[in-house]
Amino acid sequence: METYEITTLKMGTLIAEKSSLTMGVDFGKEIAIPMWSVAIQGAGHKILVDTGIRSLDWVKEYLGDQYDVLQEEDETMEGALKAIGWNTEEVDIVINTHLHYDHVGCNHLFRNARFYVQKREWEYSFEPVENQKCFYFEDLYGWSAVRYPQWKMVEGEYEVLPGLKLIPLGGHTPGSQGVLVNTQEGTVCIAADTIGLMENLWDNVLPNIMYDCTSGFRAFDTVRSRAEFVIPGHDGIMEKFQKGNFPGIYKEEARA
Amino acid sequence: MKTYEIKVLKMGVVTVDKGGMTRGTDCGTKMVIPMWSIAIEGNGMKIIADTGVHSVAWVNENVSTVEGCILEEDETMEGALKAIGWKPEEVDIVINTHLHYDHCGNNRLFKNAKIYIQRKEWEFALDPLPNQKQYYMPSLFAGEAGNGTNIELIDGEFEIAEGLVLIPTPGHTRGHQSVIINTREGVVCYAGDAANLLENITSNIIGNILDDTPEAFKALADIRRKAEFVIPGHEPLIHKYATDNFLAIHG
Repeated sequence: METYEITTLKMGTLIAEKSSLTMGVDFGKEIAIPMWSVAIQGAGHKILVDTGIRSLDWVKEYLGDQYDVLQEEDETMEGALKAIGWNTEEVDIVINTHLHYDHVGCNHLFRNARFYVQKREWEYSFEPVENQKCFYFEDLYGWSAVRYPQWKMVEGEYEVLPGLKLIPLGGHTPGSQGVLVNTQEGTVCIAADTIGLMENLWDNVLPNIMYDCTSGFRAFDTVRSRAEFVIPGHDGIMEKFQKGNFPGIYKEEARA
Repeated sequence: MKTYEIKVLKMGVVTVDKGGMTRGTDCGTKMVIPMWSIAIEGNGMKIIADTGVHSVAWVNENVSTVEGCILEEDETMEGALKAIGWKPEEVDIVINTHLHYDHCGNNRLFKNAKIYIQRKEWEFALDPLPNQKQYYMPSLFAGEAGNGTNIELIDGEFEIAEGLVLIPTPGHTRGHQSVIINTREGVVCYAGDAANLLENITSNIIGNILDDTPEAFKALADIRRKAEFVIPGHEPLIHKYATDNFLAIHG
């Protein structure tokens, strides 16, 4: 089986209200959360999972003061790719776990890539529920960012390459997907916002931005049954440019 | 069209985080909220919708998202019924909007009543999602507390009598329902927790305890469509024993 090398790319930090990441827990507490993208190399491909925010200026213009966002030089997409010795032209596959603004912001940079998204997510993004309208900006992933033929609309589970699979997770948004990656350490699930924090999975507490709770819990079970390690979407538990030793599906103490 | 008279019964208060009432709004602000039941009379019937909590100590010890449960003397179900001159055994019908502990805590008192519950709620209550387990206590609504055969599980919209209709309003829980009541003032909706507060209805903000987001928004839209006035399940703007002047939905 083909194995891949994973590198975490930090796309900046968002100051958030904790209960927005943990349903009903820690109301009113502030938490600084990284926004993770992931670079994957193997089988002759350079692959990106999620593309962060467009820029600090974009956030200010479109979201105003509702979020405090920080971004260091090696946390822009260009800066992060430079740091790992990649350029935008050589990325040939981009996977969007879902289409919220902090996961598709730099889609427009990858003119040579094939883009993978769940068809359900694409369709939902144009007609989201009331309290998710604020997360979707068509300009970041529509025709002005990605030419439609670049998209591969996926329905359900899909093998992108041997050892690299998309799995529908749902919960956070109806079309959220995870990426299962075969690595030398074992199977890693890039879970994005289905598991924003490891606390979600470890304590069985749903993220609060949640389309439906039933599929949110089912997604936890899916990840537990199919992966050994998780890359959560917004957990400060990881370092930028981390290449292995990702958090396990069970808490350390539970494993010991 | 038959009309009914409503009296609001207060089943005590709890302190919660405001973000628990209005998803993503005012997180970190504490709020004291009443737990409402309502008495409905008309068409030769005495009806109670929701039956409050069974034990202050149990609530304070077991529910992680609330604190400071307090009931005054006329805020127990027995006390409140006495205050309006009703006896539990005279009640013909009990409606549970849903089966969370603060809405069915005194079902056991109503030995002669038929109890209306949505079948989906009954099934969800016996096998809830992990995030809702702490709110369901089967001994409050099933078995002896449910008066055995007096429970009527219904599927969807149900007309109890002319001018009195149960409408499904899921989202908060799988089988939540609200009560549409024709009164002389106009159509009143007792929302239960489909709307905790008036703000949920007028600002289109769903609550935080959740089963399904699109259903929760649909429920709010449905209430706006079907009623002129609303009694939200935990709204402090409502007064104990209020009989009229409920909260106007449409400005």
